[in-house]
Amino acid sequence: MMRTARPITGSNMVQEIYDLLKQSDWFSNLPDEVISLLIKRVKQHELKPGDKIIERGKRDDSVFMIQEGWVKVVIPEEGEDGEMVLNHVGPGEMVGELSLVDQRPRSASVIALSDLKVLELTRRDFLEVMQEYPMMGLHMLITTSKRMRFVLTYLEQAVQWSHKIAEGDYSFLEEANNSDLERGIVDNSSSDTARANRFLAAFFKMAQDVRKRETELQEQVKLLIIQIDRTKRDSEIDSITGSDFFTKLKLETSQIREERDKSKKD
Amino acid sequence: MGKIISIHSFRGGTGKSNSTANLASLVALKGKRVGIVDTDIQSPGIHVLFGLDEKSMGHTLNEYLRGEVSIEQVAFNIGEHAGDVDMEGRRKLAGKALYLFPSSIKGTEISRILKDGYDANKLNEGMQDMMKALNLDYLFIDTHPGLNEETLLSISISDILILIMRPDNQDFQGTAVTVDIAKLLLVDHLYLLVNKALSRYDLNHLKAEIEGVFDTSVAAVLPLTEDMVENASGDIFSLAFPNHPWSKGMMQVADTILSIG
Ligand SMILES: Nc1ncnc2c1ncn2[C@@H]1O[C@H](COP(=O)(O)OP(=O)(O)OP(=O)(O)O)[C@@H](O)[C@H]1O
Ligand SMILES: [Mg+2]
Repeated sequence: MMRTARPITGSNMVQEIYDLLKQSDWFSNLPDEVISLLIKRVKQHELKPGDKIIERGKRDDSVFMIQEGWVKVVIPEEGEDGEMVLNHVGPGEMVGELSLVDQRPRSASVIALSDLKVLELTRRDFLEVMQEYPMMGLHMLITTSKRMRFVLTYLEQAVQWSHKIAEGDYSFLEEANNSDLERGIVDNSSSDTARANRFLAAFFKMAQDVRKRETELQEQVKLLIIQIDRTKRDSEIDSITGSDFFTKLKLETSQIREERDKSKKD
Repeated sequence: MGKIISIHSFRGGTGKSNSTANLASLVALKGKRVGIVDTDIQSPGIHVLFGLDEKSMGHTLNEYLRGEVSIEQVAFNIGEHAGDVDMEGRRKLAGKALYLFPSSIKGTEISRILKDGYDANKLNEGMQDMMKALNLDYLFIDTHPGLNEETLLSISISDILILIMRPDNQDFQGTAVTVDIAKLLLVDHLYLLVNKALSRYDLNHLKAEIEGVFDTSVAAVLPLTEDMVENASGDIFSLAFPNHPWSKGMMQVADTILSIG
């Protein structure tokens, strides 16, 4: 899958990677000597669109930083060719950091969308750098916590909405501060805020669909019931009850019922 | 004295034969003595659900009504033949008191019977005789759709009438007429049974709406199910799949019938 893997050599390339790491969330606060340690250990890979960088379920534990190009993070749908796209990730961003930390199988697949350059740092190399510079762990923790707090704020909002949906209360769909979401206005950039907003927008859209379906269902059931034409019904009943047959039947029936009632009492 | 239960619908294909076979079987499983009048052996009817064909059934009710054979000769004892069938559901009927009375009240024959002065009294007497002869607790009649004289007759002599309808507009109109006619004929216990309800409807909501509009209690709302189509009349569905929602609904209806004193 990985077509080429090469160490970082040449001053141009080193400078390029240095700039990239200095801009990234994870490494921007690290002193230069640590960045140089990292640059010595990362390997560069070049990939083509459709190539898989990470495969869901696999037990490997490198972390990757996108240098050039874009990837999608997806969960393949079982038994089908379909997939659920979780995220699009571009230059300066990391993928695979969860397995680096907890060593669990990969939670999603990562696939190249364009010609791609990525930098790989193995867990082993990562731990070795951390031994020499333990503060790197703290920096990572800070970055991860910031993200986590950010995600939680949005999750709380979604959870609050879910409770309302469960109660059949869709009033939040009309609230003024959700009007961008309502009109489907989304920011396609790769900032965390834009990403979280896209998540909320998807949730919002779902809630709108649920409400629409619920209203339609209620209408359908009502429609079904209302359409009894009472005039037509009455004239049909008259034509049946007006026949000699029915008059005779009704007479006989009441006799039969009287007799049954009598024999019940006996 | 046994009870006569007619299963009827205004339009065809609502599930009368399936409902009759299942209800009769469920009631027989509870230890009651049960008979079924199959009003139609020309087109696929209820006998198919019990794995019978015209030949294996022998004598018909018409022969009995003409005085040619005894009622015992007409009654086909399903419980006696159920032990060695390979259908999982039907096998549960082994040893139960469940009898099928085939008849062919159809086409020219029915008009002849009507012209000869065949009336409610006579039909009622015939049914009462059947119940007495076999000491039945319940006699189920699987009727023809519509509101012709034949169905009016069987409605008029029923203690319990179960009107089946699908939840669609074509069934509502005719069912509304039938409900009113049944009320005019003073049927003691009238129930609607909604069958083939699409899963996109809220079944409880549907039940309440229909009860309101028809002013009649709905014994159950049964879902349209693909499993039923696959069963293709090969077995008694509620005995073969007792945990299926359709079967659970049917059991509710059977309990309602059993609770009527
Ligand atoms: N709930 C259901 N879901 C799906 N199919 C059903 C359901 N109930 C009945 N059917 C199917 O519908 C068809 C008609 O059923 P059935 O023969 O019992 O109706 P009927 O009212 O006796 O018809 P007819 O008026 O022709 O005598 C059968 O193929 C049966 O398997
Ligand atoms: Mg039928």
